[in-house]
Amino acid sequence: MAPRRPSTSRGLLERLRFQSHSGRLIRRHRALRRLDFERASIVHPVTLVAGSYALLLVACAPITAGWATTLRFWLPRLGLPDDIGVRERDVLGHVVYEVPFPLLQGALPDRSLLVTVGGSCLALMLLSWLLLRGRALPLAYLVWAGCVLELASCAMLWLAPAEFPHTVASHVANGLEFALLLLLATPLLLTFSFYVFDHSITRKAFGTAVIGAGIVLVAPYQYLVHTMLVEQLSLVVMPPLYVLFGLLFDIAVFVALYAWVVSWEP
Amino acid sequence: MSAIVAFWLLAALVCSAPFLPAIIEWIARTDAQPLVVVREQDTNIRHFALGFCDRVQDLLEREGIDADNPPADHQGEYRPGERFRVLGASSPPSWPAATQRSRVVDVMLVALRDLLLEGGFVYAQEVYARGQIVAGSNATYRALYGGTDVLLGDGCTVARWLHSQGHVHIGADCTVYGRVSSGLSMTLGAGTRFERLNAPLIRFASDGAVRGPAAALGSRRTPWPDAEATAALHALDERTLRAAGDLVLPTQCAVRNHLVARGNLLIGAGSRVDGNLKAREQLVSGAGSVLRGAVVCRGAVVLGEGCLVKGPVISESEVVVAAGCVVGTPAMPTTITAPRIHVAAGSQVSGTIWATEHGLVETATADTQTLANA
Amino acid sequence: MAASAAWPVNWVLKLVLAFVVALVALYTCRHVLFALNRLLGRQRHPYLDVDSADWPSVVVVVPAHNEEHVIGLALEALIDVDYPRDRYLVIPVDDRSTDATWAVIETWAARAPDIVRPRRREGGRPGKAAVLQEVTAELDATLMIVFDADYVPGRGLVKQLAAPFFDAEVGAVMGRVVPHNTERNLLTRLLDLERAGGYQVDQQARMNLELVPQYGGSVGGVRVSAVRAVGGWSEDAYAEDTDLTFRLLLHGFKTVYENRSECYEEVPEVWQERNRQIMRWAKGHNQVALRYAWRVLRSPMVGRLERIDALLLLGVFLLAPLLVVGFACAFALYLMGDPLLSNEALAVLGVVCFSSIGNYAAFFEIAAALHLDNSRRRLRLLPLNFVNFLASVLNVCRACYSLLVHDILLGRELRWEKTARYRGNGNGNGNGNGGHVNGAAGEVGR
Repeated sequence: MAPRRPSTSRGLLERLRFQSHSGRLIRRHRALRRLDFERASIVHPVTLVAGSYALLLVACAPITAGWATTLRFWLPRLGLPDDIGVRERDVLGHVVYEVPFPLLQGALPDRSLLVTVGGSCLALMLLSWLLLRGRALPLAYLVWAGCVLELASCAMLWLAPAEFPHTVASHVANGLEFALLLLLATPLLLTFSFYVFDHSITRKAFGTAVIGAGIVLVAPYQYLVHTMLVEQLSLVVMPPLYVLFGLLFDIAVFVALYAWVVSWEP
Repeated sequence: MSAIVAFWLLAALVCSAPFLPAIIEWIARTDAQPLVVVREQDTNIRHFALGFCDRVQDLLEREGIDADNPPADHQGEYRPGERFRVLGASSPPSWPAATQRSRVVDVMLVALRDLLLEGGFVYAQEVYARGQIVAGSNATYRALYGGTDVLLGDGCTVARWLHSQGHVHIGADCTVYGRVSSGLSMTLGAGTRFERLNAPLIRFASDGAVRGPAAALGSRRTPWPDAEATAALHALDERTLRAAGDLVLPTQCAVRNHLVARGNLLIGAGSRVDGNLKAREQLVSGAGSVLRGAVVCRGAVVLGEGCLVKGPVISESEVVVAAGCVVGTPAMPTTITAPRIHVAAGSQVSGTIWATEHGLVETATADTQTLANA
Repeated sequence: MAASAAWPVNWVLKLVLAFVVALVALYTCRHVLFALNRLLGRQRHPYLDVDSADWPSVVVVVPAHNEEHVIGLALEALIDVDYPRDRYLVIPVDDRSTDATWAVIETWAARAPDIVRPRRREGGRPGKAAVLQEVTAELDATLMIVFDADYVPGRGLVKQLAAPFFDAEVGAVMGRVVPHNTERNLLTRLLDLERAGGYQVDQQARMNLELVPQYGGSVGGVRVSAVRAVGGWSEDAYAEDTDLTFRLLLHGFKTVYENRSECYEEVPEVWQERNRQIMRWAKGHNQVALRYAWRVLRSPMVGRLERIDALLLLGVFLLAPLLVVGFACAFALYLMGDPLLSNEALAVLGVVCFSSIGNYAAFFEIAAALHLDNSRRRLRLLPLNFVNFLASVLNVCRACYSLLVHDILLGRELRWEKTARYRGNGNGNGNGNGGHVNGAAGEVGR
């Protein structure tokens, strides 16, 4: 008579098939690896997006209030008036958020300052072209990008200073509003770029919180720095600040934190 | 003044903090090594078996055991948590009461003569025998290495691999996951499920010689394509013809070209094709055909009864091999690879069969017959 | 008055910006699809498991110009590969080297005279395409596999690259290149991210979706009859590999990507060399785009999805100048006081700044690749990829200008440039230990 078939549990068979002697999972080669499409692949993104938006709905007002408090705290200490304005955005009559900004204009540069700044930019470009070689070459590219933007600003402020449409107030309001929009877009951006990975849902939630917290914490200080620089150096520095250290910087913060949280072990 | 300094310091800290992981990684280089590309990787099916043999050799040397004059029974720990048992006699090993109760043997077994394993157990570690292994039925084995033949009883499961320097016989209704290889030949019983098999000769649910297309070989065949058929085809190169849709070859035709069909490719019974074949949808070879080149298909490949195929058979969905087919020869082994492979009893393969999802040895059921004769 | 004068300018800027943003969004969607497919979709490796077969005859060609430090290792590895000896030849071609390359080749040829058949070129057109064209004309083999002189293949690689050619529709096959000098500096690490995204995700997704994987000129092979059928190698192409990919496609052949067929390569260790490399790629790619885009659009041999992918692939190096135009428009609109549109546009364009330009591997695509590679910590360098992006954009723009002005308008002939090598006595195991540049980078041919 044939012996009775052993009651090999599925777990034991899986262990025999996929675990090494040391108990580690025998992984497929990276070339063939993929993630299993399972319930979590749908549940995690849906749960995290819904949860994040529920939280953001509640947190928007405290976040912008916190930004206003930060501005009010630092502006007088930096020797600037602490008058704060608020830009409201509403949907169907319901205020969604209120972005604070300092009620500052920023001074237009005089022509001698424009000549000085323009000349400095040209000198910097020349110096970087001559000196920054080898490993430092990308630094030269960064300098050139900044200088080109600065020269364009100088040209604009030289030719039509009265047409320059921005003030410190509008600059900070735009910037903080963009940071808020980036915060609101974060769960959607992470849907296909993080939530589909095989990290646990708690790590994904924590990662989302880390990215969100990064954006929220950086934004007021970033724009306080802009305010200080514009107040010290006039509106001529505002355009490069807007591009390189405004929106792009916010996105860089998002990418840096994204890269960090995705690099965690699943 | 101090407030301004404090502000700049705090602002620098807050604004640079998100970039700290990047800067730390740049400086500390915790993951800067290149990806490991193993140069020795050569897809050898015996890779695990050879690695295991090295471990056994190491174990014997470490324990000071002479393989030609082994002790009757010797136990110990090879590495922390990895227990082994060396058996010097051919008689079936006896197990302590706890093992008898749990039916799980969690030690590596090294037999320096033949080995008879009792059925109904789970052998959770590798088993090595310098001689023959007769593995009892309805048992589960992690991995088996036989210096000569390995005979696996009905209803067994092999979890990782099985290799024999001699013949391998796998009983009916077994499930063999992973790699199974033999230096000489292999037979698989009906109802057995498999993944990757390799041997100079693999027979399915039959010990006898397989007929193949011998009856059709001598018959007269008509050259194809003729001028009319050629006009409807696009020449990819001097020997390769491509059809924009389905391609149907008449029975008893002889083709020297490589053929590509963007739709289905149907080969008439008794035909001979010297070139490689490719179809995007289904590729069906009529009974008794001789296909000397490769058979490649995005959809299912169905080899009708008594076909002879010399080239590799590659499908991205399914391969059905009907009874009496011969794929590859011991002198020129080849490969069948597909997610699902169904092989009917009474067919024969030389080389490798690799079912990435599952393979199944079928008795010549109506289903296979229908597909094969489609 | 001023407002009315600015009105048409404003609208032109907005239209151009909207076009660039739409294009960037299209590419981003494409690469989201690629990343999702690679992470969660069905993976195609149909030829990977062929290990027993009546293998076709293969010739491995190794073009070499001043490669004395690296070619010995490549030949040693090629002699050692697992392939039937009676169907396997290695042809190292010394293309007018001025160093000891020929002596090294002769040494290895003497060790394995049955396998290694060296050739030496003293005249004719210089460059890889010319070497391949010359060898192809005289070749008596089914397949030709091409390795650069610094590539050290594994034992099973030639079989893996030969297996897809059992498929009669396959004209070319490409394996994955893995940088081995990643530890050298930030540049090599950033290029490692770029390669990971490009191969592990981008190429494999295109293979999965049956689009247009690209033959990359090394760690790849071609069917000799297919190359002959499409007229051989283009000696006047800056990127003979991309050129061949598209001619094969237009003729009805497919290119296959084999993600498991990995081989080490050296990536540039200095920015100047990287700039030359990406300029060469951009110029070659755009040259191919100009030659074949219209034919791809109309060819009955190309499927609908293949057509879309092929056109997007052809346009990938045109994105850089368009991005510059987009940024300029957004900045101009900002200066004109239209921050709303420039905000949104800059946000979309800003996301691209952390992608790699050569293959448009978006940041999440790189993340997906490293996740699959199980080498996640290097992903933390992603924000630093901005410098690579900036350098690439600048140099791709230079390449576009050069192609347009020097080559098309002024009709200058092809300038062939050799890739610099950094390995003095590399051991091929992933630890590049050299440090000097071998050979005159940027050497100019006829």
